[in-house]
Amino acid sequence: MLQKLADLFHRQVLGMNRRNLGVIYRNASRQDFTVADDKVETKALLEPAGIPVPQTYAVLGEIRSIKDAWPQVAQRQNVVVKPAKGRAGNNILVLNRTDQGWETPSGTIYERAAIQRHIADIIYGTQSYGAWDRALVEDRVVGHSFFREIYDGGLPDIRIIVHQETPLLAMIRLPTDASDGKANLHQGALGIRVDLETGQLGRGYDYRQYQSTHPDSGVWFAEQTLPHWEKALDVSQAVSELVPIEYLGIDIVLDETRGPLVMEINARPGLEIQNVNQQGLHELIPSA
Amino acid sequence: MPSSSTVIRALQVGLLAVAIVTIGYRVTTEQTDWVDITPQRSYDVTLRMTLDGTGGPVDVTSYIPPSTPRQKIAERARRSGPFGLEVKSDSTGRQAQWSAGAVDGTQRLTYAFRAWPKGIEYPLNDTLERPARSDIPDRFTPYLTATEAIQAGHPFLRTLYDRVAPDTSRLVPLVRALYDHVASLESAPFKGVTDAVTAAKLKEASCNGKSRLLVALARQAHIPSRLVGGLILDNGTKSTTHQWAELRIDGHWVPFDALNGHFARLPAHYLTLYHGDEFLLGHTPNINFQYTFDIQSAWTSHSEMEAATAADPASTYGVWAPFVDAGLSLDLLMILLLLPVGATVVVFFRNVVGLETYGTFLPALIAAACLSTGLTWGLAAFFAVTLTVAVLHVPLERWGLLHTPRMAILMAFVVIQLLLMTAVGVHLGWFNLSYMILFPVVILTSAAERFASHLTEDGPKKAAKVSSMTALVITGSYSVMGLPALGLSFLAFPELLLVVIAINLWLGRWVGIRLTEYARFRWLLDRPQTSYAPETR
Repeated sequence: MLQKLADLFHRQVLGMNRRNLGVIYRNASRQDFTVADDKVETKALLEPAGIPVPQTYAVLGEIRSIKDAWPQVAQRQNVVVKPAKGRAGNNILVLNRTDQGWETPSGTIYERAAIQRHIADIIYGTQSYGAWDRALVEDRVVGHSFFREIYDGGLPDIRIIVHQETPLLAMIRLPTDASDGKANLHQGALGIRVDLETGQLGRGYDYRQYQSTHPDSGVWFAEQTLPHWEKALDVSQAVSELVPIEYLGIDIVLDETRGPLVMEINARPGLEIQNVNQQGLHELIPSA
Repeated sequence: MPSSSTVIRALQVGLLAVAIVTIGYRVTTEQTDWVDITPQRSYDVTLRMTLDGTGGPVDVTSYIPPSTPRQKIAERARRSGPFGLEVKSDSTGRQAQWSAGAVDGTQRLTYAFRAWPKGIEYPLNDTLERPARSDIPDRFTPYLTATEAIQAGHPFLRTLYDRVAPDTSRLVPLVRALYDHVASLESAPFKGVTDAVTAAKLKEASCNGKSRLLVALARQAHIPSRLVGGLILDNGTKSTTHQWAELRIDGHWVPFDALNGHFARLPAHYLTLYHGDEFLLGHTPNINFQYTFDIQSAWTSHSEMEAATAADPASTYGVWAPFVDAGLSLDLLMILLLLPVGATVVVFFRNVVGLETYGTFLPALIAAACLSTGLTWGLAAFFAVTLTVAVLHVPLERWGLLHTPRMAILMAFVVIQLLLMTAVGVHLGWFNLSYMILFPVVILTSAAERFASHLTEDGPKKAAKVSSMTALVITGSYSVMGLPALGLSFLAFPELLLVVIAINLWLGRWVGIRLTEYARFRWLLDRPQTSYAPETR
């Protein structure tokens, strides 16, 4: 028993210390991380190389540019406003233009001034400990019907961990009522294992147990196969070849019409994917 | 080119070698006495007396503490105004007498000293025989005699003695039985002088009644014994003095405090002022005489005192003489030296144990402040400030203020709160609380703000979890930084900082699994099942 435990934790599991020292900071300079930490920079690198990303409507780095850029935004039907350096899905405004004005998925109406103030807050870093940032306004991705049939709410994504251009583990993160539409495991989303070879879903993990059905909708998802899986893997392959960081978490969303789009890349991806897959990462990166 | 791990290994060995060599050199050549850096608390005590003269002569006497092997005393200051001061010594102790011929108006007298008392414990030999009355030298006769308030031989006490004393020829079991009886009486707050018989009849007494009863019973057993008058040194202002007893056992005056449960020992914060059934103070009547003791403690040692006063560059602490000359206290320098130690403890908790805290080094800084305030008050203040910021965070965020001005507002509130707590501390005489002012305001504020945003983003459960972990790490950091021997070792040998660096070079390369990760990744113990049958748990 003890032998098994020691073997598991020393040969298989990737802990925080080893992730930081042996994987993340090993072969990358801090400067390389800006590509991953800033969504505007990420897009600037990926888009010219032909990697599909959500369409950018505006990038706002100064307060005075808000007014100039507004007509660009106002003519759209569905937009998302997010901080370029935002983390964990915070401070993201999802808007749909209706007759009453701009409406969030939860039904709150945003006036033009309120949206502009949200943009100003992002630029001034009101919510991010005073760090100046840029606001990114882009097309709202419509979640693929495959996901909506399992649970209709929020935007699920696919997280693929790649190391030295090799995909190691994958999971999808499915929002729940508890996560309030966010695809973040810490906030209550369900992590579901994805078989790298086949794109077939395994069981879902929510910190307490493993389950094969969605906790809110009750829909059975295990053993279903993700649409566009080959394409998603190709995209992640292309990203890892392009980005000068060895170890990456690539977040891909599936758009109903456009298919896999890279939402963001993460230079310090979380370790929870090991629990979702019940597979240690250290075992897959013995050099770490 | 050597790899970075080789460089780090070499650096570690080098740092440790330098530290060991310099410390070794200094210990061997400077005759640094390890006893000298054994921690000791020093107490600055000021006796303040006020009186109103009406033109006539005034005399005031007070016992002042003697320097003995157990307590070293250095006089610091005195103010006598128009009074002449004379110090006399007799068998009861040292007595200061202030005298003036014609005194008018309100007069203030002060007598300030610094004391280095040590705790003491007498291991008593259970096989000692009770000495016969005839074996006791004549000079101890006064310590066996009945007095008005210590009525040894009184019929009531004789009956009590016969009931309590065991039938034994051994001395220590007898003393133990007498002590236990006195200790078992109800404790009462001080209400004036209580004699031995009254204490025995009422079955309750304060310190002086219990001590007199113990002395009376001991004298009945022909054990020379006496009262001791002294002061319990707690930070703050007090006018209550304390009395305990001393019994002559095996050639020593052995202390017993039946009120506070000290059998054959005296704690380090007991200051002896005089021996015998005396009054601490005496004065001419009708002068509206009032007095208080102001007490402030600090960690020092005998050598430190020498370094601070003689500024001897060759002494153990001589390296700090210029700093002390510039008005910096050794306590402050010690806290400064201990900060990297506290930070290392935080590193350990974060990277080896795997606890999450607010602010990377906030716990170490709070722990440093706790060294002055005490852990309880420090943690209470930490939580109080966190709560205030969390409450204020709500409107400030709703109003959409920019981050920096918001922080400035919060900081102002934190400063106000710390000042209020300090003022309350001063007002109530809780001087520990008055050190609140040392709290690291800036870091505390930003950490508290981070707590507030955790509260809104991750919910109260997560915020409470991280707060309690932060409190735990503060406690851990405090426990290490608060080790008196450690602080004084760093004062004596600041080279130890090199060891701290070497330890962190090691911790900085440690890639092991954090303790909490064993629990976090326990799911990996069983491999995924290939069947997806509905879960039954």
